[in-house]
Amino acid sequence: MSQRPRRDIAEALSVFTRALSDEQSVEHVFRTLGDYCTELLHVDGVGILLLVGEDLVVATTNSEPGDAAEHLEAELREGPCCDSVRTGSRVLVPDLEAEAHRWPRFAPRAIEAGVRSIHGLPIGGWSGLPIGSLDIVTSEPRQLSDEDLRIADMLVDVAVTYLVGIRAYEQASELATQLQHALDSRVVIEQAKGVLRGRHGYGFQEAFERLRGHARSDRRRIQEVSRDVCDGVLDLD
Amino acid sequence: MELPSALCSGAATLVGVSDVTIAVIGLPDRRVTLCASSERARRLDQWQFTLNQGPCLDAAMSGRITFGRTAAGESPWEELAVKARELGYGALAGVPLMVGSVVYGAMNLQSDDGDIPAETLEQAAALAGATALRILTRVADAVSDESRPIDRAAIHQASGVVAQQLGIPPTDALAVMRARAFTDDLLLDDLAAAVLTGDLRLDRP
Repeated sequence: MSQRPRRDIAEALSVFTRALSDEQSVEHVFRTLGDYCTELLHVDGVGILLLVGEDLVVATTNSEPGDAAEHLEAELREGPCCDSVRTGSRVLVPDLEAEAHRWPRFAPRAIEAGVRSIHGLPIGGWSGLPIGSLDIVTSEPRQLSDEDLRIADMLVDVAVTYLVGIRAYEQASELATQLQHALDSRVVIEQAKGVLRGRHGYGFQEAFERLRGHARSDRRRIQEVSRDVCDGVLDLD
Repeated sequence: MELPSALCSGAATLVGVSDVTIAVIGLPDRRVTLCASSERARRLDQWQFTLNQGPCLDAAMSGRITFGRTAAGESPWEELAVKARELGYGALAGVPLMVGSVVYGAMNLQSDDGDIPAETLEQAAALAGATALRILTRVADAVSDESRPIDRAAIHQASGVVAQQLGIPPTDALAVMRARAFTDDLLLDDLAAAVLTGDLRLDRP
């Protein structure tokens, strides 16, 4: 394969980055990553497996042989992509038939589904440990060049960086929601102190201690007890 | 609950307005003022809460920048505009504070001039965007810290007292307190203080 002009790669990367910025979900990011790799490397399909706990889960595929290969690996827990995630290294199989003995349960069924080469690249998470693998599949034996693999790695890096941003966005939204709940709780507690003062003449410190004591003995949270006091369904005398 | 008022006065200088106030608003009445760059800015903020109107509330509820002159007949917030004019302000604006997809509060701008130019609002929006997450994190820490009293605690406590006196939920009691504050031209803060000392009972005429 002849050398790809550098500016094509640079342009593809910038187009990919722009395409990602339209994506708001993790699922879509992976799908875009898979599609771009498929097109740039002129392969038949790209799939992504993600590590969820102890299991590998198919995040996306875009072709029949690729789909078959990914689901087989996830189900059998065997295959080049599983190895890639486990070791954190690339597992390159330009001719699956020639190396079928390495994966005796996976290989025959994958070959039957039309897979002839698999290149598994680990996807590094931001802690350095693999979070999954990017798996490039062709229906003819094929050796991907170093440059091909470098392009794939670059696209993966851009996608992962973008995902970190999405996650930060989600976490920030969660924090804002938590703040509203925390603020609401604090207000309800103050209101409950007022209700108890109005009803029994307690000082606020005493009112608070009664709320807290009741919360402990009932094994509930103080804001729930306070809400009951405010709603008039609970009295503490 | 206070962020250093330097944050607000720094923002005012940076953006180029007379005063800045920063507030967190959740459900109506779940409101915390983080800082105000001057006493009169704080006073206007208290009036916004008392009258339950203003650029801060509107920006936080709508997620949009809000703006209004204080000249009579020109303000979207008539009653507040009276107080704002008394305090010397010619124009008010609110810039929403948001992180992710959640609007959690607003940055208020107050100007002695009769207008706040569009560039100033843009600058404030940029500042709000840049500081929103940091402000949120500090507020979240402060609110979770139960050893620190919550902002406007006295008003909420008083609403509980009034709730008990009138036999209604505290949220409704706050509305009653607001109505009385409006009639008597009082800040809610002052009315609440009178309720807590026992000088004012809302269940008696």
